[in-house]
Parts: sequence; structure tokens; C-alpha cells
Amino acid sequence: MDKIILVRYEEIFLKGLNKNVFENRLIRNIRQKLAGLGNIKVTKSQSRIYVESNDADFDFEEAVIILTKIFGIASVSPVIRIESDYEEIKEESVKIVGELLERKHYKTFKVEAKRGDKSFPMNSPQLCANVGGYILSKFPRLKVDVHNPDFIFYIEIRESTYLYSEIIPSVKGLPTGTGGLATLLLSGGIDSPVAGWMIAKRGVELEAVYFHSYPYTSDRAKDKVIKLAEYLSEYCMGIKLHVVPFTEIQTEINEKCPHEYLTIIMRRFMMKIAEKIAEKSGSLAIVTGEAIGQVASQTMESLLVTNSAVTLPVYRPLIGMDKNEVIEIARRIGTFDVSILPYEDCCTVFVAKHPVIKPSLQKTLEYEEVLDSENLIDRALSQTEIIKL
Amino acid sequence: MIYFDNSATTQPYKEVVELIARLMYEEFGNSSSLHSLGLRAERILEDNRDKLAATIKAKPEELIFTSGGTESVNMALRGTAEILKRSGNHILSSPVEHSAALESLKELERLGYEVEYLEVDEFAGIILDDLKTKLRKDTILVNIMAVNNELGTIEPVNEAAQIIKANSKKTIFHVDAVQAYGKIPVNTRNLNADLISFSSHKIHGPKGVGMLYMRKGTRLHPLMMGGGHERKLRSGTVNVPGIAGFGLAASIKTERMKEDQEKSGRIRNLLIKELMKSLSSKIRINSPEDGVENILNISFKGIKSETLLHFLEMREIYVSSGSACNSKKNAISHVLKAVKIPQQWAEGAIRFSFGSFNTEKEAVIVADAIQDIIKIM
Repeated sequence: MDKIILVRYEEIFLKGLNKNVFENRLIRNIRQKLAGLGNIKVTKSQSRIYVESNDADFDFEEAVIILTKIFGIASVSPVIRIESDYEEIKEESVKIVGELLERKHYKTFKVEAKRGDKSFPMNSPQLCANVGGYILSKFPRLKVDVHNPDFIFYIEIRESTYLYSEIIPSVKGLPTGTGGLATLLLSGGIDSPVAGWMIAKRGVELEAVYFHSYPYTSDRAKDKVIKLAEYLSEYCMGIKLHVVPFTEIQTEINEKCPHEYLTIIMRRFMMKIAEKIAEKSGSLAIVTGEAIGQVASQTMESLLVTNSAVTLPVYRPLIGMDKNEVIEIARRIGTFDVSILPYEDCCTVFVAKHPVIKPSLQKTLEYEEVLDSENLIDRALSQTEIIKL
Repeated sequence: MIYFDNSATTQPYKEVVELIARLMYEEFGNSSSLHSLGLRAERILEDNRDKLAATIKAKPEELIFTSGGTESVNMALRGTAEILKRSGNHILSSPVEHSAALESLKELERLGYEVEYLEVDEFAGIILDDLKTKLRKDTILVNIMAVNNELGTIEPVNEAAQIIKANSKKTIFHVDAVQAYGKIPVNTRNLNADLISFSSHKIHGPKGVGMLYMRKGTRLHPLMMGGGHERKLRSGTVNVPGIAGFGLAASIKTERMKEDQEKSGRIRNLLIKELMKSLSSKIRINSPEDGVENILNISFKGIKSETLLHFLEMREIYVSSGSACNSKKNAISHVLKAVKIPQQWAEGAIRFSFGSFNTEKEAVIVADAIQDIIKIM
């Protein structure tokens, strides 16, 4: 008898001839993420992945938690693997159900069996009926409910027999590293970590750029962004965070440009700097947390003006989402509680009382002319701090 | 480094740190243990209780050691309300208290007590006539701080005590003396309060240590249940090294109190004078002239206090701001709101607070730095 974890994937099935690339990448990612837990063996068989360990004290529960945060995994199940022997199947099934009933107050169940190995002497319906009957005889308080059971007991007969009672959903998506690199504009807010997460979910690796306006912004705000990047890196196999000093640029804009255009010009600088960073690291897109109409700088007109600052594609996965929908994801991935800490992109100093809602690109370009943009950007880039998370 | 944030916390005296380190290592016994190691710890504890009692002219048995100002205040307010719940339901407090008191009072309100707040003047001083009118026969508890932590205002707690006790001898009077101790005399013979809260780390002692003075005969319901330490009022193994550090800090601070306050007064005046040179129209002094010398609250016009704070921190000058900077809402302190500070001054309030280690020279450096910063901001 072996205790193992069964890992399932979904979308990778559709990949045709490239399927191997995705599977192998997923296996590599699993190995990397679980390496800290001890000696593990990760194998692929019949479009599934099995994780096992020879360590006597291997922490299966922790492994399950980590696996449910790896993109490309649809669900996981802690599984008992035994010989395909009917007597053994019966006894082990009772043991597993007994352990489950100690943890949960389940009253009804059903058995689902799949027989891949047709040499096994019983067919699936027979197996269900026989094992189900045996379980009932040992736990008289349980009842069978085939339509709406509290739990399902699974028996899969393949090259060995696999028994389990839980299917734990994971994050789905595609394995990190199969989609190239993108550059995320990361602030301390609720939106940008979610935007990054959504792009990363599609197998994309992320690097993040944070604009720090010290001393107008407290160093606590920077710590908060580092914390958010750490959360994201849990999902996407590590993140490089670029902390760009932004005070000089903001001060210059503040002094030399009309106040209602402060934010829009500032956003354009952010995009240009992100693009430079992206070019250097071979990134294929910029990612932002913008959603149409959320604030003055995210109207369609404003987005057009910001977008014109760069030639790289800009991905905005939240573009059609409501705030509450974003918050829901932020809560699910764990970034929400960090995002709502009070230290945010302080201060109202660089925010106009009445920012322009429908900026014109032509005017923006005219206003920008007074700035020595190239030098400002170069200086900011040369002082950028890189933090690997 | 210039540390002008001594009302937030202070750097401990070196001899205090050395004493604590030595006691933690050598006298680690549990003061409740029956063996001689425990007895030694108990002796150190009781010596320091004597020493600390002497600084406020109290009897040693009137002191209960706690984990700090917040615990003392919680214990005083919630413990009194609980034990007097059959005598009445009415509680009076000043509105400019520390959040330890305000949050405890909110909790009491949730439990069904009627909490009423006093009016304050433009410097956050309570109005004694208002206290007279608001006191009732069923007022079980009155809470007033001795010195305001944001402005340095000295509250008329002696006079308040006379008024409270004239109304009813049964009303318990709690004074939060966290910012007063070591700055102005706190004498339990003159101040007719039943409960007084103290903290160690505001007077160059260690953090995590405080005490509550309980006038003889005052009763309290304890917050902590357990082994019955501190006359069953505060269970939990007693922090003997910390208390010894508090005792030493208190003797040093009381010894040099007059001298320190005079020096703080000179630092304060110098800072004002230097700032006035070029910023006279841009600053407003929020602290009262007759407040404690070691706290100076000033507003800078058109400036967000948190931004100024960070600019000063770049020059290794550390101060406190009267409002947290937040682009969504402007969180102006409850004290500044209570004194109805005009809008244009509300967001730019900075608190400078001085301690034993500050010098007059530092005032000049800080004033120069502020003038530089305001030019570039």
C-alpha cells in the first residue's frame, strides 16, 4: 500500500502534438515547488501525474496545499495505491472511509468504480455494488444515495488500484513557463495583483514593476508591494520585482504640466518605463489592472492616451470587470488583505482636484514636450532596484 | 540621527538595558517559586515596587504591575465598570484620550454602559463646569488623562478630582498619567484619583512594562485569570527584569525631571524661534503655552504632515504626524478634530517630542532641515 497524490489536468488534453511540452513543464514545476518538502517522485501515466515520496514523514497535507496553487493543475486527490486484489480493495476501502468519517460528519455516500484493466474479474457495476455493500456492513449509520451523496468513494482499477474519496480543485490554467514573459504594473491596490494573477494563470511568467515615490510614499507602501509580489510568486514560480524611483518624474510633471493632466502623463511615463524594462528582459506584453471607467485615468479616452505611449501589446484582463468581481478573486488568491492595508500610493500631493476625464492625445503630447522625458526615464531606470521573489 | 518622537517611545537609558540584560540572565527565577531563586526574584520585584511607589508618594501595595499603559488603562476602565455594574451605568470621559481608553469605552458602550464625553477647549483642556453639569448620582467612573499625548496639554485633574468626589465619594476617578509621569509631578497625596495608569517606555525604560496605581480600598475585576499574581489582580508570571528596568528608569528620570523639562523647554522655544524666521506665516502652534515642555505640535500650511515626516526621515530626523496620509480619506487625529483645528491647518500637523537625550543644537538642525524641505516640496 502506498500513499500518493493524484494530480489531474484539463486543458492540456486539448494540446494535440504539443501535449508533451505542457506535461513536462507541469512536472518540472511540480518538482520545483515540492522540492522543499523532501524526496519526491513525480511520474506521468495515462494523462495524469502521480506525486509520491519515500520519506516516512512526508507532509502530504502541505504538498496538497502547494499543488492547488500550481497553474495547469485542475484538481488533486490524496490516494491509496494497492494491488488489484478484491479482498485488499475491500479492506483498504473500509479503512479509508473510517478515517474520513472521523473527520467529517457524512451520512450518505456512493461508490464509483472505473475498470481500465479489463482482466480484473469484476466489472464496474459489480465492483460498486460489492464494495458499497461491504462498506455499509461496516458502517451501519451510512446510507447510499446515488443522486446527491455527501461523499463519493472512488475505485480506479488500472495497472494498480487507486482508492480515494476527495477531489480538491486547484487553480487550473496552463503550466507557468509555457506562455512567455509579461511585465506587470504592480501597485499596492486591489486590482493589479489580480490582473497579474489572471495573466499568469495562462502559463505566463511575470515580472513586476512598482513605482516608488519616496518620501512622498512611505517605505511601508514598498513593503506592501513586496508582500503582494510574494503572494503572486507563490503561484508563478518566482517574480522579479523592479522598484523604480519615481519621485523626480512626478515632481517634474507636477511643476511643468497642467494639473488636470498630471495623472495621465504620469501613467504614460509608467508605461514607457515598463516597456523599456520589458524590452530588456524579453517580455512580450505589459499587464495592467485597468478597468473601463473605474477612475478618471481609466476612461476609454484616457486608456487610448496611455496606450499610445507604447508599442508593446497591453493586456488588461480586468477591463470588463466590476470592482466586486475583482475583490472576489483577490480574496480567493489571498492578496486582498494585503491590498487593503492603509499605506497606499500616498499622497494627494500629486493628484489634481479635478483630473481630466476625456484627455486629448494631441494636448497630452504637447504638454509632455516641456519635459526631458528621455533623461528622466534613463535616470529612473539606472536607479531601479531589482528584488527577486 | 535626531529623535524627536519621545512621546511615541524613548530610547532606554544604557544602564537600564544593562541591568535588564544582567537580571534576565542571572536572576531568571519565577518570583512565585518557593525556592531561593524565586525568593531572590521576588525581592527584586518588591524593591522596585517600593522604589516606584516612592516616586508617586504611594504605598507599595497600591501598585499592580502590567504589560504597559494600554493594559493598565483597560484594566482600570473595564475592571471598574464590571465590579460597579450594580451601582450605576454612567461613565464620563474626556474625548481627547489615548485610544486605549477610547476603545475600552467603546467596548463598555457595547456592553450597555452609558458613556458620555466632556467638552474641551481649543487646546483640548477639559471644561470643569461641563464636568460639574454632567456628573450624576449614578456616575460610576470618570476618566481623564493628565497630559495629552498629541498637544502636551496639562489637564486640570486635581480640580476635576475635587469636583468628582464632591458629587459622590463612590465615583471612581481614573487618570491616565502615561504622558505625565516623569514630566510633571504625579503625587497621589495631592491627586485624589482612585486609579492611575503608567508606562515604562515613555521614560527611557523598557517596553512591555507598566503599572496601575490603585488607591487603598479600590476594587477591580481583573482582566487576566490565572495563577493569581499581583494580589489576584493581574495573573501571569511577573516580568521581574523589565520591572527592575522600569524602576531604574523611573529613579533616573524623576531625579532629572526638572532639569530635563527645562532643557526640553529651551529646545521647544528654539525650534519655534528658528521656524518663525522664515515660516512665520506658514506655521501654527497647536500646543498650549502652558503645556508640558517636551511636546510641541505645529501645523505647516499647505503641507501633508506625512510627506514632511518622510522628508525628515530621509535626513534621519524622526517625528510624528497628526494625521495619516491616505489618498482616499484624510485621517485627521481625533484630538485635532476635537479642538476644531481650522481646515487649512488640519493636514499638516507634526508633533515634536523631546526626551533626556535631546540637545538644543538639534533644534537648530531640525528647523533648518524643515525650511530646506519646505522650499523643495
